[in-house]
Amino acid sequence: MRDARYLRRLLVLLSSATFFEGYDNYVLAFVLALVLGDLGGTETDAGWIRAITLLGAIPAFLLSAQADRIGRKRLLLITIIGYTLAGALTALSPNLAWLTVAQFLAQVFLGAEWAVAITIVVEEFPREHRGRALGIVTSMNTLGGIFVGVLAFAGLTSSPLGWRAFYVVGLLPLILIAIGRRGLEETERYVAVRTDARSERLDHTSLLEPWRPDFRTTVLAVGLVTFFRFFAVSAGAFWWAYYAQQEVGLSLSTSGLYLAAAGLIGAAGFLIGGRLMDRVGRKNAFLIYMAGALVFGTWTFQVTDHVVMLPVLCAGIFFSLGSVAMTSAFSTEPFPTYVRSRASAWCRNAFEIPGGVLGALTVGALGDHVNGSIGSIGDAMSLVTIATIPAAMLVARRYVPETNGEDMVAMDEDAALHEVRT
Amino acid sequence: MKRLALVLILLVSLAACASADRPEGTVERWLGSLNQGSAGRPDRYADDAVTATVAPSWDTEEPGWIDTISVGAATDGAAGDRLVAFEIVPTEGDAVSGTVTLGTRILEDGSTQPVVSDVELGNVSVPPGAWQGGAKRSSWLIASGFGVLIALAATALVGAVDRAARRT
Repeated sequence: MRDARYLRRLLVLLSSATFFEGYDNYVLAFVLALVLGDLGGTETDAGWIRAITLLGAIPAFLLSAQADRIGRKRLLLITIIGYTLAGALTALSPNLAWLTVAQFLAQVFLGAEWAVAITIVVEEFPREHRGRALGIVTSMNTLGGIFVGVLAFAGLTSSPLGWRAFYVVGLLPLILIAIGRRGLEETERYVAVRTDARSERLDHTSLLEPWRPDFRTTVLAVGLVTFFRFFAVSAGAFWWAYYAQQEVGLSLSTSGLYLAAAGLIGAAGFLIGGRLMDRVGRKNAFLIYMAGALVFGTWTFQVTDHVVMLPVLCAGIFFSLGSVAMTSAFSTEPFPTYVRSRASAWCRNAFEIPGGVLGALTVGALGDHVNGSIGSIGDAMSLVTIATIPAAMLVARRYVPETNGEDMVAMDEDAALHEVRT
Repeated sequence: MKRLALVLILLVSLAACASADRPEGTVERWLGSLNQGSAGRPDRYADDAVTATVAPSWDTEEPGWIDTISVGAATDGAAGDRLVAFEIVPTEGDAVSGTVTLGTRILEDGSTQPVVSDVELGNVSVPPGAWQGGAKRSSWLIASGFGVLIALAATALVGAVDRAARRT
């Protein structure tokens, strides 16, 4: 059992890493217009850049699965260094092709960093505080994104470096590594499993190990839950600014202010959700949050009154984004240590991210103002929310195991004994 | 139950595949492209002369120089063409408003594309969000039905996999 001082330092390190992961994820979307203006490009080029960078989720899956083989500590350091250097390459981009490759690489490391950070939290923090720790670490992703807006508001785009200045700021994680890595230890659970003679019979490398009969149901259930949830949530996050500006008539500056305010409230959703998970259980907390996401997510894209829009948006973000604390628990806690990273990689990279891509595309196609069958992004978004969130709720209720207070040591013992017997 | 499920899937698929032609959307895209600075491509949606009338220095402006873009619902002109009122409010300077006429451009491959072919500037007030498409009432019912359907289908899939895994 780790002492409190180590756990505090670990929380700071993981929170900081995830903060900059969120930061790096939001920067490109924010400065893309400036990039196109500087390096030369069209809306079509922007679409291609986004599509290619999202493909980074595929190698991210392979990379994050390596935590079961090479250890969580090593992979965490690799991912932080990786996304920081990719950000540096982005800052040096002389043309769009270079930038696209650099951002593709960044996505590979960013995707893997999130997964390994969650795994470390689950394995190191005592069960009674695990939900709270998950809430804190996952909230940092949103706060990192908000920080991009804060820097823009502070005038970073007017600096001599222009949009590149955002990526220079993104080099700060290297300082994190320099300070934090000396005190960072491999997770106790990972060390215990790898040094246990019985675990030699366990498969620590195959990517298909999570799909063996013992884990298959849970991987599929959690995968579908995260797919349907992120289908709606990702689409909402992507399309809200467009809806607010084009269909409600909010100004650019007001919509930016609303988003920043709602993002801060949304970060509270992670923290409260984390504590709620420890009190009422992961599944109950998820169902509460998804019910809130269904109501407020639908309402967010129907409200047109500028005053009412802000509190509704805040509630929508609170429940929609805050539920990631629960899905992070779903994708890690049910699995024994030796296969946890690979199972989590499947749930996130094979299900959640495709859900996010398809969600935004579907709403765009349905709500296209010229050719879409709905012709309104707001209505398309509300309809998609109604069509997908119930599926996430029902599958979670019936098939995702409750893991509040789960004893990781006992789970690992069972896995090792089961392998010895078979 | 199976037939109902199939009918629902068919209805949703048809609804999703159906497309419409909205001149308001073309005007929106044109005005949006003016807001992209030098990266914008307003020539895709409007004749250059029309763009020059509304925003002569659009390509030298910074992205986001237009604070609000408002488009009204299309109406029929005297000559049978489609008219759309618009208003743009820059972050600095006076608002520009007027009415555009939608025409058709024939592309190299022989297909046609709606474009803004003419503009008449004037003091036209277009409230934000004046026009928007929207879902019919039946779409809400269909979406709800679809939600139930995919929830049941997803649960059935996991149940089948679970039963097979237990047998192994």
